[in-house]
Amino acid sequence: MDKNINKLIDKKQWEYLVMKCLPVNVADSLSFYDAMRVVDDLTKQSTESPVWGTELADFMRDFSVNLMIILRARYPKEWSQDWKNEVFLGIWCGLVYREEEAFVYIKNAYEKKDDPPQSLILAYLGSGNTCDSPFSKEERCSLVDAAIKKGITYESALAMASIAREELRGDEAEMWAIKAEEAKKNGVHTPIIVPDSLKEASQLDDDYKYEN
Amino acid sequence: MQGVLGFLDRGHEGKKIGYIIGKYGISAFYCITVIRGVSLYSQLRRANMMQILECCSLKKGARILEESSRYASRSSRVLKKPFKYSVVPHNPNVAPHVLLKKHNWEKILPLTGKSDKDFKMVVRFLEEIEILRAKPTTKFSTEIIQTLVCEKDFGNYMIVAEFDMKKLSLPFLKDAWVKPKVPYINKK
Repeated sequence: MDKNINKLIDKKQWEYLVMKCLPVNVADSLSFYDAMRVVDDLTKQSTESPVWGTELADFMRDFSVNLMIILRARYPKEWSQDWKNEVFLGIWCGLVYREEEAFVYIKNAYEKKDDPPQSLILAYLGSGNTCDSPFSKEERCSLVDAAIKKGITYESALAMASIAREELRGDEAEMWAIKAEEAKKNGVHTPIIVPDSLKEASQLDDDYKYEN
Repeated sequence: MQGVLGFLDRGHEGKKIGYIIGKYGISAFYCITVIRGVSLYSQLRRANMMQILECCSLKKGARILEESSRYASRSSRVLKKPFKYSVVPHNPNVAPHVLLKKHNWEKILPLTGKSDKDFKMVVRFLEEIEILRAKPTTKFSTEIIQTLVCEKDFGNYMIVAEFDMKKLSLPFLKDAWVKPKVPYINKK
């Protein structure tokens, strides 16, 4: 099995990998960092043609999430060295309809940080934006306030506009929407949360930065 | 090229589009689509590349043109769909998620219990209220994909729809639900 998995990974045969192997087989065959690279490759592959737009995209994401959950349990030291691992896992849970898990992982990371950065506050807020939201309106308002205090970015200004719209403060909503557009025009975005171990293999647009 | 296509009926137009894409690639249409907007180009890419390349990859190279013509008549129907504010599901997994009981669609739509029919009804409804015109918020941002949330007022309810979006691509429906409005009490 080990040899086959390495072969599939070397040849970047991701479809076969998720069809023929289990996440635990991948975790058995690779080191923590190599397995995280597989997660990165699979999540990227899920947005490429011809996978994008098919059920296979969700299948690959689900496989990545399950692989990360195994790595989290098997390598607690490596995992906890970087708080972004937990948030990354939560975000990909959210992207594959595993909302309850997404909320738990991102909340874990949020509660461990004394001074959570804006990207984490917004990810926490996002993870609670479901049909049965765990946040009260007051909690959501205080999270958005905390995010905007860290700076006006496209993403934080849009969150403010949304809250203002909900509270029927139309003028204020419009003002924040304009600020969001200005921030977008000037390339001011909230940093993207990617684990340190995957930053090397990643490519970001000029307007975006990685969270530290 | 635009002139030539204009003279053809739908069936022939579809075949020609497929033939041109098969022979020259999707970029052959760039000159037409930049006039009508980048989103049209993205639509064209999405509609055709998926079907044509997927099918061509299964066949020998010599049959590419034949195969692309065959599939073009099907994909050209997608191209006829109005581009503005059209709601396209990300993949077949979307329907069962959207139709979950807790998503409350039965409160505003006469659901039949048949998932195909009900999902079409929901998509049509989202297009009718032009959900994509609502100012979106960002739910999740990764380096490759973003989840955007659009909300629209509908009487005593808020209609919420999530869309997955790649760089320079169109938003694809990921999930949607109905939530009752919580009355706002001004504390000031």
